[in-house]
Amino acid sequence: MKALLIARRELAGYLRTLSGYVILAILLAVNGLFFNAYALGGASKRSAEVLSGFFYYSSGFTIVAAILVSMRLLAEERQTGTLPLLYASPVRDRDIVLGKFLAGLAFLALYLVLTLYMPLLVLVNGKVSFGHVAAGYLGLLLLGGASLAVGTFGSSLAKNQLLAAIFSAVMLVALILCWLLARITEQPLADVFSAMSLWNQHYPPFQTGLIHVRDVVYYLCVTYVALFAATRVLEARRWR
Amino acid sequence: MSTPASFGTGLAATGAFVAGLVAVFIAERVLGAGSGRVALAALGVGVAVAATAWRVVRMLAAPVARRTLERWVLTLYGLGLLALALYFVRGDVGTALVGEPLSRSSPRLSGVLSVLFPALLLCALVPLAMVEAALVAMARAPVPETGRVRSALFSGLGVAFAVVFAFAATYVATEADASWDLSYFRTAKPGEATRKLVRGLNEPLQVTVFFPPANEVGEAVRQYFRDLSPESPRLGLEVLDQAVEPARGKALGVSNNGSVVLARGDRKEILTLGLDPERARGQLQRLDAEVQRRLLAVAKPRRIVYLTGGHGERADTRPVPGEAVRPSVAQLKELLRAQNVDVRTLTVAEGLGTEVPRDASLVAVLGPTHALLPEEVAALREYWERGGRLWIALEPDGAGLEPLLRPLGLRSLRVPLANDRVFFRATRQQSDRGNLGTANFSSHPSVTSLSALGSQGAVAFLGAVALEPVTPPVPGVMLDTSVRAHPETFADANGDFEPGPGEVTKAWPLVVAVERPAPEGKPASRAVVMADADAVGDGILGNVGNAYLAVDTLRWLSGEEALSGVTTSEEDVPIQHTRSQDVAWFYATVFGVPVAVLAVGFFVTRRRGRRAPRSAAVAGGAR
Repeated sequence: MKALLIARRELAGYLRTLSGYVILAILLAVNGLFFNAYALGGASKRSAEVLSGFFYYSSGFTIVAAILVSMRLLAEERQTGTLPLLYASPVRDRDIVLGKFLAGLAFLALYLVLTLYMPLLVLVNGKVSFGHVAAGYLGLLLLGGASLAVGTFGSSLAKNQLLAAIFSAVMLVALILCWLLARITEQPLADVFSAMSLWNQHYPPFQTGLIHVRDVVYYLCVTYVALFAATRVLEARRWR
Repeated sequence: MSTPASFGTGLAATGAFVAGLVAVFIAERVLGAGSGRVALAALGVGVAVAATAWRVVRMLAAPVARRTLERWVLTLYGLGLLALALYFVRGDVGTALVGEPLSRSSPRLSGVLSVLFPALLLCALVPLAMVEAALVAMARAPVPETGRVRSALFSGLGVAFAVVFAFAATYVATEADASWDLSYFRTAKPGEATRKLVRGLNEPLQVTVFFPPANEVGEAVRQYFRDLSPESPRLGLEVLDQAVEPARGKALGVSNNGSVVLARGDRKEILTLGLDPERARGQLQRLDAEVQRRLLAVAKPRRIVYLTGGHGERADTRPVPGEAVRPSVAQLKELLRAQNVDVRTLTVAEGLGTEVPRDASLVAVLGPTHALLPEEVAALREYWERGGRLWIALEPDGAGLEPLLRPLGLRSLRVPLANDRVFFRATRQQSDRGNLGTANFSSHPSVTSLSALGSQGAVAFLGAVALEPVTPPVPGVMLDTSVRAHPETFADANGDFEPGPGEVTKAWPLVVAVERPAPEGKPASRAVVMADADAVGDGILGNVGNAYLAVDTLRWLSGEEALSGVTTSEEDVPIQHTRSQDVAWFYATVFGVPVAVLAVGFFVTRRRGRRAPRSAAVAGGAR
């Protein structure tokens, strides 16, 4: 419950300042530009291709949005010196991490909801499978959640927001590039790296309207491990 | 015995231990084979064991206050060595002991060890890193805080367990994977055209579905016919398993499950779908069209459509070298055949110079580039006079066909049409303005389906010619402009694709249905004149609107307009935009929504700013 209180306060922090809306507007504008240029552009495409294209590049924007949102979660508190106040409050470390993560996730979900008009526009001249749209958005939310959790971990490690963004980006790029490692290593390491790949192995099925339990579980596991690690980093003040 | 201050940290030993493990990893995973691998692996193990021995010595020499902490670290070293031992037991040591690879002699044990050794290694290294970090933080403390190190140890173990749990959960989920395909995959439902066909049955028609019980494809097909059967008591439905009733299958010409037989009297049509849902997917998506095609074949007599030839008409033959390549009508022919039509060619050699064959349901003159011979025109006019059906499609730079159009009450201005507002982009050149698109349909029976579809059935005309009724009108001939161009369309007399003075802008007729009622008992003469042969050419016919235009035209001309209606299909369709739609979408997506978000943000933050109390500084300044 305390996590929810923190989440509500944190989310209000995003929406009470113009910066949150500016981030949303910039992301939406660039997303719209890509929608016109890549998903719709070129030769006449079928609805499923347009949707797939939309979810393809939207995954990149979701990761970027997750980094932008997560960089301030804990690093900002440390940068402004308010983290000790949080420590002193009667909340557990895991409530702090979970609350901030949930606020970031809600903001990310708001961004994703605001992009919904793009796949629905396809309905005007094409055929839209609402199942495909739902699967794509589930994938975006899971990918965004996992990226946000990794970002939260990065934010917990860093002393300021810039470092937090760099840490998060490095970790996410490392996770994304696991598919490359999977290609150059041998079994069973190749399987391990392949399974760890954040995008290449687990996201494309969502993009085409396919939901695999294994992909859902993977993203949930990444989210869990990253949040767990972030909690441990906060707890480290007791032994460092 | 050392004092705490002089005891220092054990980072060097831990560094050596980890270096030993890295050496083993490089030997096993990078070198892979040969004496180099054995040497480096042996060196790595030696270093790790030596580091552990060093740690034992440190523990024995440690002050009492530190001894417990050293023991914990040593336990983690031990765990790491155990992981290393399990790795070798699973590999070389196991092979040497048993005589063959453990994965062959004891696959289960090999599997367990494969999972156990990395898990143990993780449980050793992650806590070790955290414990060392805690120990470094209080290296100079006279009395180390055991609680802090315990906390670090548990934190490390927690993280290691979480990672192991995540890997295990992912592995289990991968092995027991379930999936749901939510992309466009539904079985088509009976459409209006098929329902009308079934409603109009005057003899019993038996549908026999051959599928084994609980087959996914069979269930979809059964559901389709269950939806259709209330339309007529003459439609019988029987579900059989071919494996159980091979004799019935043989009698109907079916040797396997996965087929549907539609039979009326001696005539029967077989639709083969197969049993695999993935393979049948495409057919199930257009099941209505497939069933309709076979229903037409068994329930209706076959009609003959003649396409005139010999004057550069659209055909499915290769273009003559040196001539501009024009889309053929191969797709149209296929579409006509799917409507139970026998498509034949009619030239002077086939008798067009004297008369149109008596068995003709209709004659189509599609985009001739040269004028027809007077004898051919006379034959076609005589055919029209006696209640014949003509389908004429013009080319902007082709033959005028005036002698044929005049009795129909129409004339071609031989001027191409263009629109600078609503057009289809193809090459992003000015000439794209000749690619007209419209959803402006009348309520005439020759466009029943298009009227029902509305804007979903927009029709494309790539280079239409201006048509207009002759004045004075031909007595007894009724004209209905069934498809009109967008009102901003202009007759582009100078071919610059820009509206100019004297170039009339209006909703030009693109398709005109012509009818001349006949005395009682005689068939009425009917004709459809299209301003563009491209509208039924290959490529464009893939557009839903153009396909319906062709089918509805066929049905009206052959007097089966009662059967017109939308055929349902769950197949995906290409998205085509006019330029104005492109512009609208661009502004909506790139500017519209982002600006709206900013406006909401501005409103919310400004409102909040007004509500907030003035700060003391501002108040003081005011004073």
